[in-house]
Order: sequence, then C-alpha cells, then structure tokens
Amino acid sequence: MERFCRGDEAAFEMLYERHAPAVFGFLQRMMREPALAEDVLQTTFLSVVRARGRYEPDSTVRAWIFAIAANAGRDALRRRKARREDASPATAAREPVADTPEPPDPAASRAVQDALMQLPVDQREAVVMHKLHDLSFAEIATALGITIGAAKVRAHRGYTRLRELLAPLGESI
Amino acid sequence: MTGGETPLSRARHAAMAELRATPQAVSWRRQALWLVQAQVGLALAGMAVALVAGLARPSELFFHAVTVGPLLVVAVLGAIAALAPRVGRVGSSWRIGALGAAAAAMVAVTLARGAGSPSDSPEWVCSVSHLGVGLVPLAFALAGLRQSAPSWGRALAAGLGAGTTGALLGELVCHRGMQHVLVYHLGAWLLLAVSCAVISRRLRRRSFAP
Repeated sequence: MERFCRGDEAAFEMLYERHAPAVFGFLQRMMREPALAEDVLQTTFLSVVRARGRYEPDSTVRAWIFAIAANAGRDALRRRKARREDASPATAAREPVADTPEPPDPAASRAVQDALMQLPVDQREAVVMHKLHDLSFAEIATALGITIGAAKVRAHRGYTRLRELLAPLGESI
Repeated sequence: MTGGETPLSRARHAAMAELRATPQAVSWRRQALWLVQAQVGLALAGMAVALVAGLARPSELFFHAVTVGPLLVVAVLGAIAALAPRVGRVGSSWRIGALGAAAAAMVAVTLARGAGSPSDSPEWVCSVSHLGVGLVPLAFALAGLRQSAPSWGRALAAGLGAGTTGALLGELVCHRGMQHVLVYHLGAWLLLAVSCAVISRRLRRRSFAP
C-alpha cells in the first residue's frame, strides 16, 4: 500500500489482482445488474486511486476497499432508484450475474440471489461480505463504519430473514 | 466499451490511467491544513483590512480573545472532521467534537457580547458579510468533501468550520448586542453550514472513500 501511495504501478497491479475479483463479486451480488456492477467496480477503483492519501493503516486494505465499494454501490443504487422510481424492479432482478461460473443447482442459486435482493441493503451488505467473501466482523464493521456488535446484528438479522425467505425450498443456507 | 475486454480489465485500465495522471497521493492531513489555512488566513486578512481601514482597534483583538480562541478551535476541528477518514468510530468522534465545539463557540460568542453599542448600518449587513467572506472557505470545504463518501455530519462540520471566517471577522468589526449576534451572525453561520451540507450532497464525488 505504501508503494502504491507513491504511485508504484506494479504495487497497484498486485493490489488489483488480489482484491478486484472479490469486489466485483460483491458488487454483482449487491446490484444484480451487470452493467451497473461494472460501472461501480470502475468507480470503486478510481476512488481507490484518487483517495489513497486517505488510507489509514489502522484498517486492512481489504476492508478499506470494500468500504469504498459499499459506499459507491449505495450511491449507485440510490441514483438508480431515483431514476427508475416507477419502473418494475423485477426486470433488473432477473438479469443474470455476469462472470460467475454456472452454479451446480441454478434454480437454488437463483432463489438465493432473489432472496438476497429482498434484504435491506445494510443487511445484504453484511451477509454478502461475511458469508460470500469471508470478511471478519471487524472488517465488516470497518467497511460499513459501524461497531462490531452492529455488524453482527445486521448479519444475524439478514441470515434470519434469508432463512424465512428460503424456508419454502426446504434447504438451509 | 472495448470489444473483448472483460469488466475487470476495463476497470483496471481506467484506474491505471488515473494513477499515471496523479502519481503522488496527497494525504488528508495536508488537505485539512490547506483548509484551515484558507479559513484562518482569510479571517486574518479581513482583520488586517479592518484594522487598516479603522473599522476596529488593535486593543479589541485582546478583548475578544475569549471568543476568538473557541472560533479557531472550531475552524481546526471542522477541517479535520470534514476530511478525516472514517476508521471505525474515529471519524464520527471528530464530527461530534467539531459539532460540540461549534455549539460551545456559538454560546461563547453570544454571551460575550453583552448589551453592545448601536450602529448606523442595517443589521442584515452583518449576515451578508458573514456569508460573503465564507464563500471561499466554503468552496475549499466542498472541494475537500468531494474526496470522500457523502456524509451529513462531515458536511455540516465542514460548513461550520467554513463559517468561522465570518464569525472571526464579526467579532472584530461588529459591536452590536447579544440579540443581534444570535439572529444575524449565528443565523448566517448556520445557513452556511446547512448550505454546505445540502450542496455537498448534490456534488458528484471524486471518490467514495470512507
């Protein structure tokens, strides 16, 4: 990170290789709209470059980049909502997630994705970061600007709601 | 979109081009220093003009030390709160500190004024002057706020910090009483802070860093 802050391109390449795929996966799960997720991925890494003077070593680089992705994602969702106030959300929700390998059970995967999209954004962020990207609760707390306890509560509420939504499938997540 | 490129490589190229354009990172501490310099520097320049023009006497600077001190604290804390990264709850501590200091400074500025003395100029001149001299610090604050994710607290603290320039000048030049300060000075200061928060929310961000 220190080398990257000094403008070292190789250091940025390493950082990008390490974190960009996970961040893109996170954004795809948050947005369910490939074009929007791609836009926000670009915004996220432009932000990383522009704001590298704001990075503090108190947090992990991963948590910092996820924080930027979550902020950019929330802003994009807010703007999209403002643009499409009258449009049906089902259109966007049914678009496929790009660059994701075909899951073993596409129907179950689609059901989980649909259930995820029904969670409030704050719970969805916590669940996706924790369950699908293995961030610790300390990292989630840093990324979302909340306490560790609040991160646990958000994730717990998200899991509870997901179980309710997926109960008809007869499978636990 | 370029044909054949994956989303990941497109984002990488865009970020790399940005890195080449700005190879040196500017730390948030340096940006906060610039913001404080803009706020306090402009207030000092205004004070110098007021002294040269005979609108105030040098002895008044000492008389107003009890209010100038807290206002300088608000200028510094407001700049830090506007630009400090949010790491855990640290960012919100700066914001709470800045908002608390601003509230204390407003009470000090009002109570220290007492009965005051009458003036020939209309009372709204103070509000207009306060807003006028606050425009440059406000522009600096807004430029700084574009470097991070939107936050009402952050923007409000930045606006209160920007408002200290007018408050510092008002302390030296205006001699009216407590009620005038409460309505025409603090009103303008709060208007500047709220304007900063509203404008900042509508600005296109350069970065969404915490």
